[in-house]
Amino acid sequence: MDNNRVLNILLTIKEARLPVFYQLLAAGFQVRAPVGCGVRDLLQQGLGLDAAYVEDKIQTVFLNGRAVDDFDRTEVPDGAVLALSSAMPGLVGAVFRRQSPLAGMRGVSVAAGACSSIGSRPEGWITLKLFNRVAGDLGPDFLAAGIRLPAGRLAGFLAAHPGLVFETVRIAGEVRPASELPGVLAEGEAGVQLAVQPT
Amino acid sequence: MDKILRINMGAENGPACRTEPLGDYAGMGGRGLTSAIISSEVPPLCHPLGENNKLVIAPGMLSGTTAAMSGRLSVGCKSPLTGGIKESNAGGQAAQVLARLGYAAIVLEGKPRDDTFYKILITKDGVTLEPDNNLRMLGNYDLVDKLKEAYGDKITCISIGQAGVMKLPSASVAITDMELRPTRHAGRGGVGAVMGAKGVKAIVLDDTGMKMRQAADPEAFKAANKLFVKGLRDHAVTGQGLPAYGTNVLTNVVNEAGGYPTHNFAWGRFEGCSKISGETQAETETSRGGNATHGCHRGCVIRCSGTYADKDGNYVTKQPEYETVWAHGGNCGIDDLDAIARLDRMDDDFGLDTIEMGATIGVAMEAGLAKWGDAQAAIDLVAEVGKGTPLGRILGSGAAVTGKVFGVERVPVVKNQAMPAYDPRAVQGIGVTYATSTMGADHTAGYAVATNLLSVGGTVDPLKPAGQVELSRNLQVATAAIDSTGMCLFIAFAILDQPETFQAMIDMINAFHGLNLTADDVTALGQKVLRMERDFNEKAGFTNKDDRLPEFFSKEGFPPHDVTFGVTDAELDSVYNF
Repeated sequence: MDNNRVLNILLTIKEARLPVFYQLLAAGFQVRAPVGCGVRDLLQQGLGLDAAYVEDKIQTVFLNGRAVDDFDRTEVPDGAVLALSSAMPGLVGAVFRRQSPLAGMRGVSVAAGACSSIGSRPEGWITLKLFNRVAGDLGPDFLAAGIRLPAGRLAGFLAAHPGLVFETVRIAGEVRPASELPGVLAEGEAGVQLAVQPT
Repeated sequence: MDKILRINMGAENGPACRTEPLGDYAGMGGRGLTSAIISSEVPPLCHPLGENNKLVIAPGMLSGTTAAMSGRLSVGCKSPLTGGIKESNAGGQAAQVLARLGYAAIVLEGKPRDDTFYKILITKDGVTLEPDNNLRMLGNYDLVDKLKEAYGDKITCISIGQAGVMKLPSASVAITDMELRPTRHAGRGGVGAVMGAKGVKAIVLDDTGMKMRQAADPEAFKAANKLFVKGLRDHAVTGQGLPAYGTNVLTNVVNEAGGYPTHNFAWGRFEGCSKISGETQAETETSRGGNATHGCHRGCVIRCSGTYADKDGNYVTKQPEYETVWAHGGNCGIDDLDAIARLDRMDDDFGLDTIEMGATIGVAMEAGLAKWGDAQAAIDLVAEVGKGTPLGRILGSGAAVTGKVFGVERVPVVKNQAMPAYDPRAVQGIGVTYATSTMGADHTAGYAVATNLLSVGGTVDPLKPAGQVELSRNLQVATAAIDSTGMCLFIAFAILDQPETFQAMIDMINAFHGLNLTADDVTALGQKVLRMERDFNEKAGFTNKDDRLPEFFSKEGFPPHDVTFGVTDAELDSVYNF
C-alpha cells in the first residue's frame, strides 16, 4: 500500500450495521504508533487503551503471528502485525492465551526481552488486527477515528456487501453519491483513510 | 436411569428387546459406559459391520437432570473407520430424554437376517420396533418430518441418513435439537455405519409422562448447580465469546497463529479467513434474521450455536461450527459462508461427519478432482456421496481411502481418521494427542480441562519438549472423565480458570448420586476409561506404529513459521505411562 497516496473517505451508517465493518478490522489496518516499545506501552500510551481493559480483556495477542505472553518485555517493531483477541475457547484457544499453562503445546512463540520506554521511540506504522469481543469493544472508536487500508480491500468488501446503505458518503471531504465509490477505489494501489461513523 | 435396553437385531424371530439392570456397569455413564461395554463385550478382532460388534448409545451421569450442560449423548462401537474402539458424542435433546425414560444405555446387537430397516419407538410404556423400508433412503431432514407425522412433535430422534444406510465409514448418527431438526451429530468414526449395519434407521424417544431425575440430596444438588451456572456465565469464554460468536470465533485466531490448515494442510494461513470467521458469520446470521446465540439442548447456558439463514431469511442449517467451517472452507480454499452452510446442511442430511468430509474433499482437490476454492465442485462431490455413486462411496469412506484411491501422499489422518482444524506443527501438543488418542486424530480427545487442578502426572514444565507429552496425557485423562459425565466439554474453559466452578461440578455429581468423589477420583475414572480403550485397541492389532502422525508433518515445513512436528517417537510412546 502506498501511504503517500491516501484518499480520505467518511461513511455514515445506521449504528446497527456498524458490525459489518468489523471484518475489515479483523483483516488488518494500519495505524501510526510509537514503535520499539513494549506491547503494553504501545496499547496504553500509544493507542490510548484503558489499562484495566488491556490487562483483563485482551487475553490473546499475536505479534507477527506468534503468541505473546509478556506484554512488558515484548517489543513491537516498525512494520509489525499485532493482533488482539479476547480469551478463546478450545484446547488451541487455551494454548495461545497469554501466560497459558498450556503454552508448552505451541509450535512457536515470541521470545521476550528488554524494551525501550515509549518516550524514547519514534513513530512508525504497524498493522493492527482486532478480533471478536475486542473488535466489538474497540472497533467503533477506531472506525470513527479512521483506519488505513488498501483501496482494493475496501472495494472488495463493498462489492461483497451490496446491501449496505450509507446515510452519507464523503470522498476527500466532499459529499458524493455512494455509487461513485467503486470507481474511486478502482486504483487498488492507493491507501484509504476510512472513517465509519454511526448516525 | 438404572437399566440397559438391549435389542438383538439378529434374533431368530425378528428383533428382540430385553431390559436388564446395570450390573457391573453401575455408576458409569457416557463414554465410560460405552467404552466399558465395548471393551468387555465386543471381540476386538470382529468386523465392525458384523454381528459381533455392538452400538452403544448412552447418556451421561447427570443427563435427564436439571444440571446445566448435561446433554451430551455418547455413541460407542468398534469403528469401521479406524478399526479401533470409538466413542463419539453429540448434543441435542436425546441424552436428556433417554435418561428421563430411565435408560443408562441402548445396546444394538446382532446382525439382521435381511436388509429390512426398522424404526424403534421408546416411551414410558415400553419399546416397539416396526419395519419401515419406506424410510430407508431418506435424508435425516425428510426422515424426521415423516417421524413427526407419525408420532407428533414431542419426540426426539436418533437417526441415520443415506450414508449410514450405505454403511459408509464417514457416516454419523444424527440427534435432533430443541426445534426437532437433525442438526447434532455423533460424527466421528463411522458410528452411523454401525447403526446402519444393525438395520436401525431411527430411534424415536418420547418422554411424555416422565419427570426429571431426582438427586439423592436435592438441596445440595441445586446449590452446586447454581454455582456451576454462575461460573459458566461469569467466564469470558463461556459467558461471552462462545455465546456471541460460537466456536467459529477460533478462525481468525488460529489463522493468525499460522495454525489454520489450508489447501489440505499445505500452509497455515487462509487469505479469505475474515470472510468466514465467527465474527462475520454471527453478523451475517443476525442481519438475515437468524440467530447467533442458541443452545443445542434444553439446559444449555453457554448457547454456542445459532441458526444460519439464506439471503432471503430462510433456514438453511444450524450455525456451522469452527471445524465444519474450516473443513469445508479454508481447508478447501473456499471463502463463501453460504456455500459452507449448504455443505453443512448436506452433511447433516446425508448423515456425514463434517470434519471427515471436508478433509476428504481437500484430499480430492489435491488429487485434481476439483479446483481449490471451487465451492460448487465441493457441493457436487458431497452430493455424489448422498447419491451413493461409486465416486461418492469412495469419498464417503473418508480421507484415507480417498487418498489411496487417487494416489495422494499428503493425507492428514491418524488411524485412518481425518485431523480437525488445527495443524499439529503449529500446536505440537495437539499433535501428540492426534497421534496417541485411542480414537484416531481427534481434537476433543485431549481438551483443556483443568490440568493444573487435576495435577495428573505431576507438574509440567511448559518449556521442555517433554512437557507437551505430559500435557497431552493429562488432558486425555481429564477429557475421558468429563466425557463420562455427559457434560459438554465447553465447560472446560470455566473449570480451567475457576477452581470453584470445578468443585461445583464435582459437588453436583456427588449430590446427585450420593457419592464423595474427589478430584483424584475423577482422574482415576479418566485413566480407567483410557486403559480400557487402549487395551481394546491393542487386542484389535494396534501397536505404537499406529501412534504416529503421517510422515509429511515431520518433513514439510509449515508456512508461515516453517515448523515441522518435532516430538520424537520415544516421547509419543511414553504418553500411556500412567
